Formats: sequence, structure tokens, C-alpha cells
Amino acid sequence: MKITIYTTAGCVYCKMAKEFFKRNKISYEEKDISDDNARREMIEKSNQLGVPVIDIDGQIIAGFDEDVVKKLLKL
Amino acid sequence: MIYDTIIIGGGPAGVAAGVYSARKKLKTLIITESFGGQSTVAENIENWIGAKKISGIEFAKMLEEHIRAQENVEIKMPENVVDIKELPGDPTARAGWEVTTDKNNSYQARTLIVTSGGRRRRLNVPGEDKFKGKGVAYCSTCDAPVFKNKSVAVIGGGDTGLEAAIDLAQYAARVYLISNKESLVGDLSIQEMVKNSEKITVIENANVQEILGDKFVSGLKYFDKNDNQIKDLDVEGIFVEIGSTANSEFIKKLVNTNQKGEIIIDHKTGATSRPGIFAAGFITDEIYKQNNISAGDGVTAALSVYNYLINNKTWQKQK
Repeated sequence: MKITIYTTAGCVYCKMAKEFFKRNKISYEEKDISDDNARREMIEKSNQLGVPVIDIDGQIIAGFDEDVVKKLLKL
Repeated sequence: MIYDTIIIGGGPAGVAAGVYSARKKLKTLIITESFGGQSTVAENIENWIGAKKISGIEFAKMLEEHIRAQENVEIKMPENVVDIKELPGDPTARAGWEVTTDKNNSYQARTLIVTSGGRRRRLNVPGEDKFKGKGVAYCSTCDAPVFKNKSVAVIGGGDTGLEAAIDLAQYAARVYLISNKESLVGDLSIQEMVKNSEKITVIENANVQEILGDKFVSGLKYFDKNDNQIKDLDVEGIFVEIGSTANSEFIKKLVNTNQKGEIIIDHKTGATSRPGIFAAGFITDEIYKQNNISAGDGVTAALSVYNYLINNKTWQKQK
């Protein structure tokens, strides 16, 4: 499973998302969107202008909703 | 099964009420969407007494752990109260209340403590819903980097609006700070920073009327009260920072509220206009909306519930 989380430094929901994956021992790649390429990639994938965006094997979630993420991960 | 008290809300007021109600051995139910209240999204809290500096998430966790450590307290989460009815019977017997939730559950209690706090106020103009997450944003510390080298608008001339403008000026090419008042009203030292920033343009006396765009936000329309003209502004991001409003819709028909929708309480006891219903924290007409004060008011409400119950014949009979 490939997971990417698009984040910014000041975003509390991004921290919540990262903590959730750490707690469940699921590895992920973090991309800080103050980097131009990461930002472009996030907007193209999600059509969203807000963080976090979570990409779970191509399924895109805008924002962090623990229930939605759990469902996708079948936890 | 009738609880001694149902606490609606899980912010500092609700949790403090819960801890004290548990220590009085009252059978307590807490119904809440989540724990922590509005500060959960704060990057740092530096004024919660006893903690030099904690994040909003840590604050929320601390509250949740404290309430979960109590016996006699049941928790329904995430769940929201949508309606409240008085239990049938002689009104002077003060039988209690039945609350209904968004999960179609009903719970009964002799008393209620309403601590359901507030939520971010919205503009309520066309385009706001459609472009949420597509340029319309509510968290500048989160989303400022998304608008690197773009033009953005901040709506709101109070403290949070000024702070958002400063946050955004680090990234955006141009920041328009739009206030519907004649002048900015926030903290003077932050006003100074705003006025000294070359990137920030302040637009006063302006009412935002519509948010424009196609796939993403491309601009907004505002009414300029200085010359009574409708004007367009090209921006790709719009940050709405116009304060918070009380979550009191579900209880307004039962208790007195003020113009702002805040529950009017007796500040010595937390009692509302309705015997048996108490309230604490942000949702009340407390002037200072502070976590520490909300917690204290929650304690007051819980102790008043205890006093109310020991003077209540229906409750004593049941015991």
C-alpha cells in the first residue's frame, strides 16, 4: 500500500493524520506543499486548495476524517 | 434509566462539569461530537494554567483522558443533541428532560448542563459552500502555503483576521484585508504590523456579497460603503475570519438567549431561565471566552446541579 500525506507545518489536522498512521504502524510519505512541485501535485490529484490531502493507493481524501481513513484501510 | 445529569459538549466547560459531577457521584452522561472544544485546532496554547505550552491536540487529549478516568460517567461520542423535550408530568415536580440525538437515540436526565460551545461563523454569501476547499478557507496557519505568490483576501478586521493577514503575507503576493467596519478593531500591536506590511492592503467599510470562480475561486464582489459601489477583487484564496457563534440552536426554544444566541445564565450558579437546565462556557453570555473560565464555569454548573438535585423531591424519591 502506498500512502502520501500532503501537509504544511502549521496544520493541526495534518499532525492528527500523521499521528493516526504512526499509531497504527502504517508507513507513509509526507510531502510539504510549501515545495512548488508537491503543491502542484496535490492540487492536480485532489482539485483541492487545502491540507491535508491523503492519497491511499490513488484514492484521494481531502481533510482528515478518521472514520473515512479507517474504512479505506479496512481497519 | 434516568441520568442525574446529561452534559452536552466536551470542551473545557463540559469536561470540568463532568469531573465534578462524577466526584459528587452523580450518574452522568456526556454527549459530544469530540473532546477539546474550539482550541483543538490551535497550534499552541500558552495560557492554560498549569501548562507552559501545549498544542491544541494535547489539550484535547488531556481533557479526554481526565474525563475517561472518572467512574459514573458514560460517554457518547461522536454524537450530537438535536432536540430536547421536558419529561411529562407535573411541571412543579421537575421530572427532567429527554434529549434526542443525530443518531436517533434518546436519553433522559433530571438535569442538563449545556456546554456545546461555538463554531466558526460563516459569511453566508453565494459561492461560499461551492468553493469551500477550492479557495475558500478557514485556517490560515494550515493553508497559507497553498497560496504562495497568489493574491488572497482575508475577511474580518478583528484579531483573528489580522493574524491571518500576517500569516498569509509570508507566502502570498498580495493580501487584501477586508473589514465591514469603518476601521480595524483587533489588537493594536498587530494592527501596526498590518499597516507596516507592504503586502497587505486594508479595505474598510466593505461588505462581501459573493464569491466568484469556475473550478476554483477567482475573485469576490463587495459593496463599498464609502461610495456605495459594487466592486470586484481578483483573488484566488479567501480566508473567512469573522469570529465564532454559539451552538445554541437546539435549545433556544427552552431557555432565554441574547441577541448573539448566547444562553443567558446566572453567573453565580450557571442556572438558565429554565429550572433544571444549566449552562457553562463559550455558549453562555460569559464576557470572557477563555478555556480557564469555561472550566471554572463548568465546575459552577456541576455543583449547582448537585444542589438542585438534593433539593428536588423527585430525585430524592428515586434514590
